[in-house]
Amino acid sequence: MKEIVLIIDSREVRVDEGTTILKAAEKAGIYIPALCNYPGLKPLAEVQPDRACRLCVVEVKGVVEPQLACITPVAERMVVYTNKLRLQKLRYHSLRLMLSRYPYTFVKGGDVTPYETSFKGSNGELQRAIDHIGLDELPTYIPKKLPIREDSPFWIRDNNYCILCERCVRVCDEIRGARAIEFAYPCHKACPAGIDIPRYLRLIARGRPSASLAVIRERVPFPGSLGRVCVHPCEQACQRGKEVDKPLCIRMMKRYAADNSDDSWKKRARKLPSTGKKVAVVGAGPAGLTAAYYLAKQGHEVTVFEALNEPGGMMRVGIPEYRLPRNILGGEIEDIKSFGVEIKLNTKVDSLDSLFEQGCNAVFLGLGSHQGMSLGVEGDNLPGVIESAEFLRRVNLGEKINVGKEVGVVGGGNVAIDAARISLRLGAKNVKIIYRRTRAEMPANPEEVDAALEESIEITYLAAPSKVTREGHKLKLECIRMELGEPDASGRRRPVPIKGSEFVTELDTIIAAIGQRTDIPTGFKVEAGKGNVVKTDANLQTSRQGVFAGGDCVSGPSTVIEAIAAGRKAAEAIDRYLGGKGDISESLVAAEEAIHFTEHDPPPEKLAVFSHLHAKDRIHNFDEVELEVPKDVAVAEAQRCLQCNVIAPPNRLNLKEANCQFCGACVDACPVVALVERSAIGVGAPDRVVATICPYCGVGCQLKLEIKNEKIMRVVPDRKGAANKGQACVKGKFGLDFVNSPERLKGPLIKQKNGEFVEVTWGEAYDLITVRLSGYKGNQFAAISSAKCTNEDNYVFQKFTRAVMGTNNIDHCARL
Amino acid sequence: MAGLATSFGSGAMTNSIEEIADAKCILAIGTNTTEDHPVIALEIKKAVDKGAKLIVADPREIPLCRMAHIWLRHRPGTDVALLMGICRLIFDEGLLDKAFVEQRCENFEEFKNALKGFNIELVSEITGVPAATIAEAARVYATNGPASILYAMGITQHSHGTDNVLAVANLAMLTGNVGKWASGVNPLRGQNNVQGACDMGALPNVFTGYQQVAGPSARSKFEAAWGCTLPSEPGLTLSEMFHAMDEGKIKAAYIIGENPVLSDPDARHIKEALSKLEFLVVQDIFLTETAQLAHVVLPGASFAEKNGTFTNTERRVQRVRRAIPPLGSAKSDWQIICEVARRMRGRGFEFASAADVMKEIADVTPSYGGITYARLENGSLQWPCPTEDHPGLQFLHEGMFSRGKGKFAALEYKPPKERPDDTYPLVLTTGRSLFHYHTGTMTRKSKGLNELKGEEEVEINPQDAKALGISDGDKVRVISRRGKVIARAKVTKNLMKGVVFMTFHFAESATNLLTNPALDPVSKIPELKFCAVRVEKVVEKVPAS
Repeated sequence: MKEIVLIIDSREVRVDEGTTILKAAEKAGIYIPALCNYPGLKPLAEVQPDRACRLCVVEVKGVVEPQLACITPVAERMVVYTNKLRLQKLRYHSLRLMLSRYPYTFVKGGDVTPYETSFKGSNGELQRAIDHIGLDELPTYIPKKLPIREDSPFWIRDNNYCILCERCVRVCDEIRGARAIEFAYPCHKACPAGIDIPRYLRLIARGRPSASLAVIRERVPFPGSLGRVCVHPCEQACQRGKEVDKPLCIRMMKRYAADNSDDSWKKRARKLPSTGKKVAVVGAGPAGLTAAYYLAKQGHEVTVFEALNEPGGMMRVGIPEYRLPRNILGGEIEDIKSFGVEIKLNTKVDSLDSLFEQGCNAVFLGLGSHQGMSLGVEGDNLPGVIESAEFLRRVNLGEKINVGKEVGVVGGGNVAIDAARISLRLGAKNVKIIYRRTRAEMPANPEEVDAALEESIEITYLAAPSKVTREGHKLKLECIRMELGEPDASGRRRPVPIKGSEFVTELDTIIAAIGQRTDIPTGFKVEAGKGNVVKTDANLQTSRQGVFAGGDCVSGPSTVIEAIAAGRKAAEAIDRYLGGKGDISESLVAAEEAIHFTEHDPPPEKLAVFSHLHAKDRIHNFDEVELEVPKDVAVAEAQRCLQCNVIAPPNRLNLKEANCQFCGACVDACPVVALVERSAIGVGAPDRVVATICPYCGVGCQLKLEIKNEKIMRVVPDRKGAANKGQACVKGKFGLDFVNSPERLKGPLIKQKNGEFVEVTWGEAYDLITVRLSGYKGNQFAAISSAKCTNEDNYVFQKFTRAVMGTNNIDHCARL
Repeated sequence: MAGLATSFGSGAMTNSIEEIADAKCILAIGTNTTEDHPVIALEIKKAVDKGAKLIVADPREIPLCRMAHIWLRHRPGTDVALLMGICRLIFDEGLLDKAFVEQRCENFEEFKNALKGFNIELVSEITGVPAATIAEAARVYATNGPASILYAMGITQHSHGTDNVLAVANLAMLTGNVGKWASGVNPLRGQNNVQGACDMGALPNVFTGYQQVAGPSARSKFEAAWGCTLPSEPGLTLSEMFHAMDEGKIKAAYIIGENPVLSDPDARHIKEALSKLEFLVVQDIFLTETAQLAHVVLPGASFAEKNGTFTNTERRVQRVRRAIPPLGSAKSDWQIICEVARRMRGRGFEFASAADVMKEIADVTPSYGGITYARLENGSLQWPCPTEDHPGLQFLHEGMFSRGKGKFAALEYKPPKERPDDTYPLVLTTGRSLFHYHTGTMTRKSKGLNELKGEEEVEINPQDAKALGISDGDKVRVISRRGKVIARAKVTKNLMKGVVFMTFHFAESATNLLTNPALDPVSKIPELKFCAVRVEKVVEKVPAS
């Protein structure tokens, strides 16, 4: 290999070609702080640029911009400076960002937890970086209160101390191949579409809504719509809500980003050249349009067929305008069209054969669930009784339905709430919702329920319709009272009618909002599953070759975000089916624009207040109820984010279930005290460190034993170990405690006539052995040596056997 | 070891651990590397990540199978048939390295004749591996050099273990995969210093560095060095020793750091033999099952309490350093032996330190000639390292085999000694768990390791379990012709039908009460990997309430 000569800080350094500046400096003994770098791992700046620590910036003569030493290869006669003032400032800035949410005391001293006193031995790297860079002050520490994980017998994981270098996760995957842990924010994990929420919150906090929108746009084509109607599973997962005060209002942050951005996300958006492949999408709802959008960007020719005269599916004909203004949804659909998606309205597809005949290579079915379900009681077909799906569709498409003064809505989901609130806006005076369980079991979003109550909508709990009759102009709805019994299959307590508790309400209109189904045209020839949904495999492929499906028509009635997630998944599967790689991921924000942590003043203690129209101003029109989010409110709210990264086994498993090998490589890789050996907690620094060899298998891992009070407090595999290069297994890392076992033999023992051992002096033991063995010289004697003992022990033992005992009867138990 | 020495002239790993990552093809046979040599498994992973082909040959679905391109699930004890079948196909398809075979090897004609007995259909029938899979493995191994073969006790612990090793060596020579970087035959040593114990002459037939005790020149050299006369006939091997004890021929023994009552096959017989001794000294760090039979027990220092060297599986001599003082009045093993030797008027036992002992080792051992503690302070050395200016050797047999020419072996397939029958219908094979080590002397004292695995489990295929009315977690009794043990059943598809698996880490379920002491005729290694057993569900008595 060619040798390269370069100059680092006016010192001549010779290294092999292909070496990075960081490694060259290390070889020359010049310290460059680098916290995400670890031997044996690919540089993070290469694989996940936006997550790199960026502490290793250096200046290369002749290059204007500072370079990352971890990924910049050396070159002949290259001149590198590691410590210029500019670099010091950059590093100071990066380190402050990294530690802006970090437990304060660790850096500043003062009251410390036992973890903080746990000396990290050979890898106390954060402290070294702090000492080198110098850090005079830190923002106030807001405890994240992340739970401490205790699922290993050998170490604890306290994610509160994590600096997000991800070395543990990467070591577990790249070096050990175990993948027992992964990196995730609870909110990010909870989002079906995988929107990088903490990242876009950081950008909002830093006053960059357009960049924030681009982050959202990396995963979904409907940011503004979601900002208004998403059921936000992310907020339920928010660590701040669980442990500190209230969850972040993530949905409102999304709306803020969508409402206050320019089109700069389009600059980096992908549009691949044409593949010549044609895809038909049936249904212009969130699933279909999402699939169409990503497939068009992959270079496929996509046509969307929509039976109605407006695109948007349930976002258009299910969700009322006062929640999702038409122009917002319309704008987002225009964006989708601008990537080459053609939408054919008023075009109902009855047969897929014709689509294939027209040259389509694949079909996606995003049919939705538009068929209402009737009440199923006597009189449910009387005039004035209407199913919610039809009711919402007609109103949302502009029909002015006369609902009269008294309206009853049966059901407890979001659709029931929407139908009720729309009825008010259509002129009803009294609107009642009738629900057979209690508020606790209600599937509707709590904030939707609250809004309905604000609008003076009445909710009758624990009641179910039993009969509808008509007397003159009025409908009479007879209901029966319910009580909650045993839990049913859904886990909710089953309502049981109370005999004789019937009561009657007079109404003008009854809206049945008790469920919706999918109508699968028989001409599609796809297999249906239970509940008349389209049956698919894990790849969303139906029983028919080349036909995929997703959204409500597969899952049953669900949410917009789930439909979008299904659209993404289908786009990946269809792209693969058409010969592509199925990679629809995009990076719409430059990596360096989304640095690790936010730096700002202490986050506000006060919770954000979002404005909406007063009930009296909104119930007579279809104006958007929620008002715009002002910048100061948005920034303050985003600043509340704890950036509570969590590294844990996937799918809520514990380490053992996640196939952890307990090798402890993650603990060794951790440059801070997020991962600490139990044996080292609270023990302090070792008295000495001794390099030796593992006594277990034949690999001979080089280990460093950290000794405190003549006990092994920690074992660290030597990164310079010829055979093991910084790695070991569970036995070498954690299984050496036998050395200090109370069961160790501490003195010689002689067996007495009664068979019991008695401890004796060495002199007594030697005397007995000498006398007795002298009687068995030659082949009456045998020596069994050990593959556990040293070469020196073995050498002396065979010499003794041969030279003193006069026999070659020596062997050991582990020959191969 | 006897096998590789026969073929190549040296019984050690031909390559270094770090070379594994550079192989283009790896054949792992009889090694559960992920659990038994986890750090070597990391090198295999590196190789696979870099595009190498991995062929795993093992009756169990070991974790390595997950990253393997080809898994040869051959029946236990059919390794010779499998390997010779692969050789036959390579030969038939002309994929052999003719130049290597002609210039570097001998005995090829005899080998070629022996191959006639291994047509692929027959091999498929013996091994249970589809012919097409064997053929694919043969082609992949032969055409993706440098290729490295890794093996461990799954190859050697058979009554025909030497033949297994010879078969491995045949395959490597046939394709010219020896004597190059990342290309060779690599036995993975099970214990930290097996290599060193062998190198140091803790064997009945050789002094240090494999110098024959029966050879007059070596013997006179040692007689001169040690100032005494030495016996000329080789001694007894371990298994022969226990027979001699049983027969009353050996009357006294000195055991250091081993626990044969648990580690060796047919444990009941071992215990009986040791009990017949008139005088037994055991030197160990714990009062092991073996130590309990002793007349005198001496406390040795643990690895953390002494200075010395271990030689790892890749012939690497590395420094062991005292980290803490010995517990109680324990002493280093060599110090204790020297004291006994001096008191018995032995000469040449006045070593002042472990470094002093190494000086003498280097003086009498050509392959260790250049190894000193001063050099080891600057890093480890791989033997052969004959002189102080020699850097040591990373891989062996470059240009020429240690014995001159590589010797092909004409082999025939021999079934295991004990076959399943109506009374003992299942095959028991043994191995290790990631979380324990050997007889558990050390790991069973570790709280965390016992938390992760605290008792013996008998792995059994779901079909066998169902037929026997056994569910996962049931207590079962495993019975062989020699003994019976109780353990919990672990029902798993990792095992093929008709085969059960146990470790030997747990004294309370001493697996080696069951195993067969049948020996390989050359290496005298017992058939720990194969014996016939039956398994019964233990009906636990419900206490009357």
